[in-house]
Amino acid sequence: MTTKTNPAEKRSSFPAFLGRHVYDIAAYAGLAATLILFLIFGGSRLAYNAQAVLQTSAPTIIIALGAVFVYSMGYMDVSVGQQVGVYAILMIMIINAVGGALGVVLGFLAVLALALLCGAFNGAVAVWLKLPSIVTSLFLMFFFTGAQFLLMESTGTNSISVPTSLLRPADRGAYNLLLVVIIVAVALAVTYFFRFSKLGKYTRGIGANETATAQSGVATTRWKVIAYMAFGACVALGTYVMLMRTGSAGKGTGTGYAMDIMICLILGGMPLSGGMKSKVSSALVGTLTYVLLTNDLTTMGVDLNMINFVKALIFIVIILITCRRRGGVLPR
Amino acid sequence: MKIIKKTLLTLLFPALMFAVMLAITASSDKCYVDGQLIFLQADMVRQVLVNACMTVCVALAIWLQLKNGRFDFSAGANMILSAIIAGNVGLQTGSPVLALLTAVAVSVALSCFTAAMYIFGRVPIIISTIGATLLFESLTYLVFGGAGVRAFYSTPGLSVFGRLPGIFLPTCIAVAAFVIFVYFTTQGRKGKILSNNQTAGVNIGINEKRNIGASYIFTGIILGMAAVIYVSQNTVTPQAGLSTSGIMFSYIVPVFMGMFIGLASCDVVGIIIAAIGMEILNYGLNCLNLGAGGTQQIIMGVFVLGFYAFSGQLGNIQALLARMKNRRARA
Amino acid sequence: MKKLTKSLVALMLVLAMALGCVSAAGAEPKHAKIGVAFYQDTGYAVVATKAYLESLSEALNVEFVYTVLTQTDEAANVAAIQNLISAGVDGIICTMDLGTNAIIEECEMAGVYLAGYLCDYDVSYTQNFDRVFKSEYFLGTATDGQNPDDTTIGHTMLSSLLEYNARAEKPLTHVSMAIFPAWAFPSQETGAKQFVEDVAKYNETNDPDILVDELDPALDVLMFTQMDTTYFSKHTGIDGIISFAAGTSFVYPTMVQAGVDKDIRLFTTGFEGGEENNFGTKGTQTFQQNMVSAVESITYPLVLILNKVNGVTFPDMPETAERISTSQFCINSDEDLDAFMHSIYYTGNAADAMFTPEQVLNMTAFGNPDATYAALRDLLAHMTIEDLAK
Repeated sequence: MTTKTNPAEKRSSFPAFLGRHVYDIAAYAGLAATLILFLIFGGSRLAYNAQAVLQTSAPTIIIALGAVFVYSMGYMDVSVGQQVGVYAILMIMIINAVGGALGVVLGFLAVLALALLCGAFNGAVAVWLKLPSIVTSLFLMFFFTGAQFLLMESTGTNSISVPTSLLRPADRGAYNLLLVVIIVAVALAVTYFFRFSKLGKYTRGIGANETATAQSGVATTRWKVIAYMAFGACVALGTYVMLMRTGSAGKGTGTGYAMDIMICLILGGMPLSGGMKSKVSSALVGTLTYVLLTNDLTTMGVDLNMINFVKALIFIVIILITCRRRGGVLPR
Repeated sequence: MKIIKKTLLTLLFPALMFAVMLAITASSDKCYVDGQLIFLQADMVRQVLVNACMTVCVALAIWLQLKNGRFDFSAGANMILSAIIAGNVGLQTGSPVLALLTAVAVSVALSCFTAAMYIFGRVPIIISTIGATLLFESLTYLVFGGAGVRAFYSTPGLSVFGRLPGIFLPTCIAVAAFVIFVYFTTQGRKGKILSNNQTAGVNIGINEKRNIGASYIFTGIILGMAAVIYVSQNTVTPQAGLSTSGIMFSYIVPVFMGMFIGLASCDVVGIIIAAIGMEILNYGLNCLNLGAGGTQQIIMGVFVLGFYAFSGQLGNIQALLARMKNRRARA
Repeated sequence: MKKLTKSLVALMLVLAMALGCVSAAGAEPKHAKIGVAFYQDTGYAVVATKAYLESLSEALNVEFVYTVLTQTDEAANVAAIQNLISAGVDGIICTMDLGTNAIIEECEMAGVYLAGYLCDYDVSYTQNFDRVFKSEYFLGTATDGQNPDDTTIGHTMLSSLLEYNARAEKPLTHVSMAIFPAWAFPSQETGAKQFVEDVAKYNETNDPDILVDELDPALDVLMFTQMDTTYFSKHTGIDGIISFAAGTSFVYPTMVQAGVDKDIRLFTTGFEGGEENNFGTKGTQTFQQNMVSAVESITYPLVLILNKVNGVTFPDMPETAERISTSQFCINSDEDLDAFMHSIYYTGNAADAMFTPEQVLNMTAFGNPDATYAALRDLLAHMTIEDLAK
């Protein structure tokens, strides 16, 4: 006996599908629109433009992928930018001191260790000292701002640098391929841990209802620490990818990353309150949309003073579509 | 007796801060000029009062929304845009009063826009205020040719609200607006219920939209006062890229501290006291030539963490003291 | 014989046509698109520079695209430059030396020329000279004032101080200084030392002495934040401040806050608007010197890039790119201020520029075969307030 699908059910399932996924569709539609504009206005330098977008977005994508763990818990980290700045300076100092490939490896490992430590600090100290999570984040923001300043003062120069040939392949094509490989690898790793492991399950649970999650027997403190450490690892890797591009750092390196990450995740449809609707794709979709939008507005020749206004309007339109909550009390 | 105890507890923080900074600066040669300790000069009182007034206004605006359960990113951008418009109006008309009224009007209008976007857009508050911030920042490039406002603070007749004693007027208005809304309006009193349990508050009949509307109007008044003080003290240039959120993060410290200090009295007193205490700290660091640069940031970070760690553990400390007292009594 | 004649005539025709094409090419410059990366997005300098450049578009057949760099983030600057390259520019005029190695690499890859303006490129000059200045795609830079190895600002400051003392009822006899950190602006520390030495020499033969407070690294070096009011508590008795740092933004607001703007005179650099109300004998008379580079100094990098785009070069073009000091408008009297307020920098009106489009075309190798690099370079030495007043 075969089961026939009711045509009425079939007709209603597509609108229902649309209704369930309107936010995802809107986020992807935003990306598609910016991509189309990119292709139209790319002109004769489309290939160059594409690789510029890849290089600009790569560090942000990697850090945003790590931020998914933290944001899915309903938390945020305002010290990201300052961390990136200090890590970049430290990496360059170590590479210049040790030299060669060994310097690069040691530099990265040192920064990775520091990033993991900061992640653990963010996750654990707030709980132990019964502080709001924003307080430890603020502490790290102030601390790293000061550290960045003092480190640059100690160098006696405005900017320190290292030859990019030490950090990446000399061939431009190989460099771009490496970036793609890194992004794909990180995205796959984050997706695996977020969708198929306890880490993602518990971080989303903490974001949805921390009390219920704790009462289900989950050691929420431990998983918060792991989540922040995962984010820290992505920050360290993102810093390295950023350095691959510029080879230099100064007292303002990394400024604004915290807010950029937030905007990218919002554009990608990530709920800032975290919970079960958190998704990894928001990091990729949101970052690419944001970077492409900036690129499009410049190549279209939009006046400098108007670019920010246009971006703001587009952001508002997108959030009104992707983040709107119908029914019930006003969302917090 | 209780009142005296509460007063002493309230004044403890700035008094402690003053004593500590006095001890540190008195022991440093850098802080003496012609044998006189600069920390004890009239300039200290003037700077602490002037800077604390600005801090109080912004902190009250942030706290008013936090108290109602809303984290508003747009306070800084609102203030900057209002300052630019008010400053230019003041320059063109030559009237500081018109500048003040313009600041209030613009700020209230911008706040109402933020509220409307939240209410009708039904977008989570952080996200909608980020959108409002981006929009307000972009407008700073479009109003008055993107030139900001430059000569307002240096014109003595116009910048009265940024100097003593004129600065007390906008500050008092800001404090009055806060007190009126929180303690003398229905919406303000019900705000705490919404903050603690939004669903329960709505279910028992609290009109959340009215609460939001009213709170943002009063926030606009307070931010208007902050804007007129800000433009009376600084060149104001257009901002972009959520850089104004830095204003919010730098003024949020007295907010959190004020909540704790205000346990002995009330939150508005706590914020005023916290602002004064922080400015005493800043002035002391400036005397030690640590007022800018890396060291000051690290000191500020350690201080914030230490303060919160202490306040977070206060319950445990009190319990420990009680246990020790009991043990001694039993012994 | 007939065949030979025919060939000769054909050859002469071809030559004539070729000459015609060359001369036609000289009369109509090749269309160029130039990116300009500013260090700030608003202000008098930006408005004036855009007005000046737009006035040159038709005569030079050039289109301009603008962007803004950040003063702190290398990656953002590289992204801004990449966006300009993506927009199809042939050359970029860049006002900052941050992330330059990566920027040069992008330009080399895309075949885009890079030249500097209002920047001494000191980090690149001292640490990456071969990579940047010897790059085929880096054409040179016009500094904002003097290069660090060519500093004269200390002399200029004393000269302005003495001019003020000569006309003032109450001459200044006790001054202090303010600078930005040496690692960011090395020429300011050099200028401060120069000023102190010049004052010492002056005091040997003149009365009354001018007292200069020693430069205190902890107090007088502004970490890109406004001066604190304790400055005036620690520098008691001063009647003047010599601010090598941008005084309008970092010193003057504190003077106003401390209530000393009527009592202390300020000699500084940079013009941001509003100073004219309290300059010289006007208002509170706080400002007694401002120094700015003429917006017309952008002509140097512009001409170098356009020459490259048009495939021509000066006969005396150096092999390695140079950084050229620029003379500045030193405004230290009411007359100077009046002249400055009629310049394009203040009015934003291209008609007030020091050069017409035709004059700029005449500076290029394609617009004038007799044009030389030496003449272009000397141009930068003749952008003083006196040249403006002429």
